[in-house]
Amino acid sequence: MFLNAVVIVLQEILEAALILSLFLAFVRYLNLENNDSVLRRRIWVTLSIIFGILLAWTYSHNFSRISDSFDYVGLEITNASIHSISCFFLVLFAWLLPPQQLIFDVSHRLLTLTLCMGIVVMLAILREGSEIMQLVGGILNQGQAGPPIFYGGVVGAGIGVSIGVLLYYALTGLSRERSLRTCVLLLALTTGNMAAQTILLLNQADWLPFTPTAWDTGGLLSESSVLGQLAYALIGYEATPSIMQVGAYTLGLVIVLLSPISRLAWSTWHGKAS
Amino acid sequence: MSEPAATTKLRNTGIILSVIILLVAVSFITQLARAETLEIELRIRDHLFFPDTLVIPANQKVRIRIFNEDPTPEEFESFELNREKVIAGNSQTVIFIGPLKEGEYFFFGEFFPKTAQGVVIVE
Repeated sequence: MFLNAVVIVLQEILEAALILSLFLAFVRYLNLENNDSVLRRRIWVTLSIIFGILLAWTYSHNFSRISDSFDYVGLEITNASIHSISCFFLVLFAWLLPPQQLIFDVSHRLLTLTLCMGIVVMLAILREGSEIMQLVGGILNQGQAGPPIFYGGVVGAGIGVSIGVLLYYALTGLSRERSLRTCVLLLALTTGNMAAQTILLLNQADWLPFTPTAWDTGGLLSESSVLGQLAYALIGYEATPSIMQVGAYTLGLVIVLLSPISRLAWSTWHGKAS
Repeated sequence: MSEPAATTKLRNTGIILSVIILLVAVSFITQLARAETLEIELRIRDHLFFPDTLVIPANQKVRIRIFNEDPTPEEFESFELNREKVIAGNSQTVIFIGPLKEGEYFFFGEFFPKTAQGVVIVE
């Protein structure tokens, strides 16, 4: 049970930790020229974690009711909604992100940016946290295997958070321009991943029609391997995605990758105006 | 630019009629899709799947109704089927799979992966 709990908790924590690290790297980029005064990171991070945990608790408390709704596909519908809302705020964040030299002119926009980050982190914790609570709560109620699951969970969470911290330092260790480019790329991959997950969930619930498998890279990188699992958590790797999933992934990816256009237009317009 | 009342009435009737026809057609197609879906049952007991081998026809959508008879939750997971779903203890749920090509698609219970294992055989 110990190793099992390590793996499950690690998988869940990893996704939320990666998103949080990514946003913190963005915050640092925004703060670089402003003595860390533009975005007070502690407040929104703490609030979104607290609200995320509260929502996760509510979710797992009503788990059976949600699961039974919509003719037993309530979980898929709820999770697909959570994913698509996250997608929306990721895209909004990418397009609203100002060029660094203009941050002082757009302080009104920073609230919206912070809200986007807060909501996405909160929803990530809701999604992943509820699953952990379901596992831990359900098994602890049986009065068996308590300590191994608890310690396994702690180890898993520790590894997950460590990988998040490593990613943060890797991102912030890069030069400013390269750091921003990498962050936008990771943001695009996360958005694509969530869009594809939404499609997959609606497929599983039979709310969207079946589309054939686009390709099979199972021989190249197995989804059950450690690397495959990491790739799944990081960029939503699937060995056999459906055509519709690939379409949704590409759409999410491209919309975010095009977001520098808004910064370019902004700089140009601002340059002319002043 | 006011139109004669009769024309407006005729147009409205036309719109209402086409909406009704559309609704009937959609519900008919949905019914048809329902009828085409095969349902099979899968039970989880003592962290084992019963049956552990599900044989289904190729190119057919299947609704798997899973009954978790254990008091502990379980997560139905399959990399080959791209499916993942938590089932609370002592409850049931539904997962749609397919239409699939011939082959073997392994699945397992992520919370108890050592014992809870099974395979969908498509033929």
